[in-house]
Amino acid sequence: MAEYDMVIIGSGVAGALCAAGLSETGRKILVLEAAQNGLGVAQREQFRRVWDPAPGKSWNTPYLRTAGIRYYPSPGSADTRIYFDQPDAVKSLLTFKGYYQRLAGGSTWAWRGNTPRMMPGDFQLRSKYLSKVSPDDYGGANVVDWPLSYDDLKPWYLKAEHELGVSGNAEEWEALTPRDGAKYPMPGQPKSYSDLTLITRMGAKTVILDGEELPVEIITMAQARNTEAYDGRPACEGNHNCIPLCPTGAKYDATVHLKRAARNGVEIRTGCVVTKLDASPDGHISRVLYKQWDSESPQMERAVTGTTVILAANPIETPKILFNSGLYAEDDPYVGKHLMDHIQGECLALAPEAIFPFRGPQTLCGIDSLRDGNYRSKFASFRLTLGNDGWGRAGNPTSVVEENLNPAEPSTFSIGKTLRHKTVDKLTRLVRFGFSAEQLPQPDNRVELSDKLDDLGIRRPKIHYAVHKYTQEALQQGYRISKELFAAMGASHVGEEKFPLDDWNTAAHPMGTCRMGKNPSDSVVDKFGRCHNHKNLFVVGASVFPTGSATNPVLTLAALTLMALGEMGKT
Amino acid sequence: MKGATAIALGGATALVGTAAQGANATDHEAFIALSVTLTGLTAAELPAMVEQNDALGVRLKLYEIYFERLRSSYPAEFRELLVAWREVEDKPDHELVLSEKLAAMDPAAERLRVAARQVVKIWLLSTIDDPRTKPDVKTGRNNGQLGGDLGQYQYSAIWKLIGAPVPGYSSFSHGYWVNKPGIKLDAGAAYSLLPISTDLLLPDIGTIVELPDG
Repeated sequence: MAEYDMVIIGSGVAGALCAAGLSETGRKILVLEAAQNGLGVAQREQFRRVWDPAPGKSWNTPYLRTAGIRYYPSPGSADTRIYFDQPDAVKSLLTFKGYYQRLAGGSTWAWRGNTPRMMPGDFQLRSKYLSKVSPDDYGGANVVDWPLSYDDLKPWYLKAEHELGVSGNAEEWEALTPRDGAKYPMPGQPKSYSDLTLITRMGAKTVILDGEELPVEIITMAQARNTEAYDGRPACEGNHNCIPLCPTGAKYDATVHLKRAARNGVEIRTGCVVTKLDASPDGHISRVLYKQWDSESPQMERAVTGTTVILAANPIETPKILFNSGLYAEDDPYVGKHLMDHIQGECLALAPEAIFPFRGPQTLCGIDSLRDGNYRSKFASFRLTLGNDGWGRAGNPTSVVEENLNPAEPSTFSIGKTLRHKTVDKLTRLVRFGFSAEQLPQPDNRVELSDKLDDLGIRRPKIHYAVHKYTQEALQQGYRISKELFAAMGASHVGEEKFPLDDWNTAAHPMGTCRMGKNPSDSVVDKFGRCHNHKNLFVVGASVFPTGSATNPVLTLAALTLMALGEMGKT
Repeated sequence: MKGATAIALGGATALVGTAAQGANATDHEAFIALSVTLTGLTAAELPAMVEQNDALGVRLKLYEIYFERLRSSYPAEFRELLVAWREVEDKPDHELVLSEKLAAMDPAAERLRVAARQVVKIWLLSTIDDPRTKPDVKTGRNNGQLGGDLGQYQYSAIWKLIGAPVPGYSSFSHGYWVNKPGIKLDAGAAYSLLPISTDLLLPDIGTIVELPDG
């Protein structure tokens, strides 16, 4: 007799949804979480007190001083190349730059909150666009259709939108991601003055992608950010701090569901780093082993049993646990393979007039009308974001002030009214398009185990990675189109003629490594996340994505998780 | 600031005793006037009179805190800048004259530029360059920054100048971003000089565990 009906490993959005959803069935549930942060208002304020005085305000700044962080390292606690062993990362295009935060509530503490659905064509990339193309033309990627269609997932998307609290304008999205007329739980975010000015300037516009003329429609991003009081959380007040920390909770994060689960009696055991899973000869997961770093014996391995085990880590930590458990060999053709991210670039410009960025959420609008098209037989899908945050990572108040105050350049060193004019003039005209491209599931993009250990003696992830030409070309197309759109808006492009590929950045959307499929011979789990080889083990989260599309992954992984709850409940 | 003692606290600087015990009022007046000239802010826009408690609960004004931070981080350069300021402060075109001093090619002028940069940065951004680092000679950017104490960031004046809330500290209502901000680009709105009561003694970070709290 197991101690728990369900043991959930990890408490990001997938784990939290499992905990909250299954708690309503009266089962005895345990969540094991490596970190030890709280979930409430006091913890949010505590994070803010770490972030506020920090000179460099990065995505992970609030979380760098969480208790015991050395015991559960991640890219959120160190440079990615410090935690990840990346022996091949000698060039930018060979470096996995993705990151995540190990916290109760996971990386949703620091996410941007964008929640578009995948498009129908995203579920059928192979059959719709690549079936007649030699895999050699796209780097030998192992592209498959998803084992379910958009229509299969549609009701779960709607449920996920209600669970997370998504605001959006249904009429803007109906043609892209059919909704059968269903409204979002809340109306969309109001477009910013900046967005409205640029949209008006651009007017009606089409672009050509591989000979196909496609419309450019700048629409309000569907986002898990309240536009009115919802689920006990306030409307967004435009703190412009979604990353790294929403100070009010207007943006959804997984603490919402963790708190709901806890209220329903779920035990959330923090400070527990899972080391491995034990399996009986028939594949049944018999024990979950973990180390409790905040105990008197942090190196002692402890065990807990669950009738069902749900692995809700992420596409790096999940295969790490499976390999450390010896459940799969590191040369397994599917476990740990097909690691994907969204590969991002940026195109910068100066608007012809003050448009006042930095007001409101960091992102409000994007272009999704280019995400699907016949061009996908030649290069990757991509979506564009019209930034509301100046030049994002490339330009902000600090950098603009500093460039006007360069001690090594007396001729441009400015003070007083001149400094003020130059600084304000530039900062109020900054605009950027970000473009985010699909990455195909390459078998060689993979997670293995390093010989290097973390402080609990657990083997760290070793990653092999490359960005293939199929994706690189999409970055060039995104850059080209951005320049065209800036020209239509009357904005002056700032930067090189072509996108400098070494400047690509991560969207921090790790996906893949435990793909789902109908056939046990070419996948790790079924569409519900149930492991083919271990019937009482479920994998949830973006790990199960067979392909990555260009879509922000959270809503899709939430929909898949909600769909799987019924199947988990049968065990 | 004779007689005042600076102590390091969490990478920032706090004062023991009032700043007025050390730096004389003339120094402070000069610093405020210099700050207005360098930043381009008006006296009303400069959040100089914002108050904050130091580590012992002594209430200080932001100009006192910033004066001491600059003096302790850039002692020679800051002193030279104040001397240079005193030479021009009474001139009707003091901004222009100071600008010309800063534009000179000699090493002394570069030291003045380093100090002037810190004065501007501390008011506009609440950060200064880490004195152990140097900005990139081409771009002027510097990855080595020193932050202020808790609470000072929200008085970074740059955000006011561009009509945006300080990130994380919006005092506006949902949807404010639809409208053009009500500012004049070269003469922004004044700060409301409400004192903040921020305890510089940070609590022990990372020990709060409060599951669940609804």
